Amino acid sequence: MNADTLSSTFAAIQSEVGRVLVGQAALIEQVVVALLARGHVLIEGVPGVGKTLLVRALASVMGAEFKRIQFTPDLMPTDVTGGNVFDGRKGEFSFVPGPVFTQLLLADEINRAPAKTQSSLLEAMQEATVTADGISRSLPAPFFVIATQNPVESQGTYPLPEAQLDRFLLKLLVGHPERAVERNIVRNFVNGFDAARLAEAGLRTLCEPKTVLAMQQYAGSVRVDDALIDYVTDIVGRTRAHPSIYLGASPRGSIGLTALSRAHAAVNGRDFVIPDDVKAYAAPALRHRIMLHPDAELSNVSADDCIESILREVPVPKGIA
Amino acid sequence: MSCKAGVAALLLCVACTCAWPTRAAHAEEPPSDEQPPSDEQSLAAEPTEELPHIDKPSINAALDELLEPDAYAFCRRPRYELRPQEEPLCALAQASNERCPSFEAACERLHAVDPEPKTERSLLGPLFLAILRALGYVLLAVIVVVVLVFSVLLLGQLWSSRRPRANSDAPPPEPSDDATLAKAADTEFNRDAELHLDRAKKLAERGDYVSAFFELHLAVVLSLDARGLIEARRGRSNGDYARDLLARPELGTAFREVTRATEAVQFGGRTANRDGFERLLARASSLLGTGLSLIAIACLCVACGASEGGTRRGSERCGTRADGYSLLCQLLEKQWLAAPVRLRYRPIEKLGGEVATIILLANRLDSQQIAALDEWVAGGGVAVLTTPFEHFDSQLGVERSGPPCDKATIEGRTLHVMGASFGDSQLSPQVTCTAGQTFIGHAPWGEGQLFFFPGPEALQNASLVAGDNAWALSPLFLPLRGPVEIVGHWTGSAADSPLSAVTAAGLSPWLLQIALLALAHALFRGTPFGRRVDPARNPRRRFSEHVRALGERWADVRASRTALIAYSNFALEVLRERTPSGAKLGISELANALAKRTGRSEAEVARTLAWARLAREDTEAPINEPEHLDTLKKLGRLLEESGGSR
Repeated sequence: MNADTLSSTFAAIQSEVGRVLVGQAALIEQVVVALLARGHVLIEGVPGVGKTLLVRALASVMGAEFKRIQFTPDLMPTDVTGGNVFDGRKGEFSFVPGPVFTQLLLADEINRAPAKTQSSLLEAMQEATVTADGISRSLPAPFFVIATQNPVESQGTYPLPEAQLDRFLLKLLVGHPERAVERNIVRNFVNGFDAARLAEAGLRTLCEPKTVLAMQQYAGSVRVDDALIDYVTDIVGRTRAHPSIYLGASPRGSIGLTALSRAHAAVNGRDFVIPDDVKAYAAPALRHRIMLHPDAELSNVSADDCIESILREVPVPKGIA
Repeated sequence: MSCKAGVAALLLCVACTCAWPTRAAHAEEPPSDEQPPSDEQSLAAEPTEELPHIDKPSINAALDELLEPDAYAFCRRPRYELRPQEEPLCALAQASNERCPSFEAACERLHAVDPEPKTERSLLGPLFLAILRALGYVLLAVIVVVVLVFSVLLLGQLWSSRRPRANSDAPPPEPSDDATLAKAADTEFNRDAELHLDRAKKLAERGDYVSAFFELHLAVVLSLDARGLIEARRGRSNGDYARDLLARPELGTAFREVTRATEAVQFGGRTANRDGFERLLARASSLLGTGLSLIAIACLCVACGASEGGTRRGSERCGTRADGYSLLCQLLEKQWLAAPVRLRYRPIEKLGGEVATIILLANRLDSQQIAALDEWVAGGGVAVLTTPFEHFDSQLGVERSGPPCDKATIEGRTLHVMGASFGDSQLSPQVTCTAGQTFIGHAPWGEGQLFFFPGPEALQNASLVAGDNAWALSPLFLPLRGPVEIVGHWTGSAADSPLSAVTAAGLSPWLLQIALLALAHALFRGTPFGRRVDPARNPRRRFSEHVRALGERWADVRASRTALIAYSNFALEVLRERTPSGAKLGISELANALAKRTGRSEAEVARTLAWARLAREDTEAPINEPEHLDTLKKLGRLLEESGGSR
């Protein structure tokens, strides 16, 4: 695997998924970049904008195993991870794997389940293992979680705890599509496209899981100059001193931003990171890792506003001081 | 090259073209000053040194070669029509018959033609020329106007991009630690693109190509920023600049290429070498405005070329008609002197050591110019005077009233001539008429020399093709030195600068008025063509702004009672919270407790609280607006004194 191969494979995946998920090229890119950075994605958006379709199409194109969990208020942790069940015929307990044992997992409406159930994913997302009754079991590689959540203002939702949020490498915001894009979506529907029958869309399988693993390995070897490490730490450090931010991003945020920058450089055909890679992923990598002061929230200041102001202030390495 | 650079270059070029017509037009016209012949004959020249020798066959062969192409229409073109200026030269037509049969034929037709048709032709010609001239002026004016409009737009755009933005997107001030401030101070640097470009070249010469790459890229960024194409700031990256250039795809592409190469060295650990640097420099030239500089320099050279004595070869511009001087120029250049021959456009006052010989075909010099010429010749120059010069004639006693001369001899060679000759004078004869009077004379002048011709006809094309005239004149010209400049009525027409060319062309008032109009228009209408900026976002207003707006609204409708009710609800609630068991207390007990806490009189506090409750509970209470506002202020003071505004 080299930069050109990775870049062309990525472009093919983006194009193929883009056939069914119209007008969301940026979203597709961000999700694939997160996958290459070995991270997980939290997508926040209103229902009906194609979140599930994205994951299914991605699984189809990458030839990966795909499962979906619909989070509900009565969902139990074992419904996610699986558990030991007594087998009457054998007279012993045997482990029944839950839906988390897959390669691409869609945790739909994750904030509809209580924190206890949400937290059942912590180990899986961080360690790629599931422990039941003291026995740890590895998840298949690559393991990639895409969780969706409704905006927190919605009724019947449980906000994700900070520890759970921090496990997500990216938090993406998906809004309603623009008029022209929506027009194309409707036109596709008129022409017979049905998101429920994705197999009929004729999506091609462009790679296989081991190719994804190779891509992840290459992305992890992309060169990061010391100046860019300083740049990342400056940005994250400033989230801890910003007047509108109550709690800044953790070192896991710095690591995540660096990993994303590497993956972004790789999909752009480079074997080294540049400041634009960092800037491109600063907001999605950090927005869910910072907590705003109540005054700032009352003043309608968003996390993205704070990150934007930090990016304006932090000198770009070797650039204009 | 960028559009702005192109506009600027166009402006320069037009300024250059303003300088051009004043000399180009004259250059195509051969000089035609003519003088009457004199009738005095003189003897041979004073031999000063051994002269180089050119034999007759070689110069005739050279002449035939020069005449071979059809450049000399009067010689070879069938049915050549003479211009009025050429008609007197028909006296030499018979002698030139061998080389120029068309010339003799044209002269013969001249005498046979009825003069009436000539009148028609002469009427049509000036009319046509006048129309052409008018069209030329209109075209020039249109070009100047277009360029001025573009330049005004350009200046406006630059101005607007330099103006501080009203909705600055600078982040809100925030505390910075000392280390950050120190780092910011350390990274201060010069914003002069040229300086960084120079640094890049010096670093490359020293072999530090990594730093050279960085400096060159920085020069590109600063150059684009100076031209208002991007906004260079410490927090902006190359990707941001590339997005700034989206509207200029040609620059965007070049910038991305330069950036890619630079980033590969800066962040990718690539090695940099001389080849890479030179490629980068070449690619960056369009972004640095080097192209603009080159064009500007080229235009300035063209415009001011004449100021350096003229770079065009005289042989190309001396005129190829019968009364032109092309043959003289070419013979001087290729046969006699092997030195450059030019038409002189610069003023005669600026004659210097760059010229060795001048041939004066016209005398339109004022006293100052004559003095300059005198000084130059006295300093060692050689002047060939083909027209009367009172200054020299009087001092040397030159008489130009000699009898007509049709043949002269020089060193035994026959010269077919026409016109006057010199009478008595102090001139040493160089060429003498067959009757003995001087035809061409010579006199030393200081350290220089003067050659006197009775008129310019002997040097015109018609004369040089006649008989063996070119060979016969060889001894006269061989001792001269080059470079040679030919002075005519075009001399002094070149401008020293594009600005003076515009002035000389009489365009200054026009341009000034147009510039003032454009300036007034720009000031009046603004610069809507300035850089596009995203509209300022209007975030939801703060709670305090909301309260202030509500208060203003109430004030507008004089709803003082409503304001007092709202505020007294809040104030009484807070005051009760601050008083032990306040929630259970009546107004009088609350007043007593607050009086003790604030030090105010109990009556005053009780009255304030009573007014507040009255306004809230009794809509018919007979209190007016001033009392409402007074109560509001007193409640506010009570809040302050009892423990803060909240």
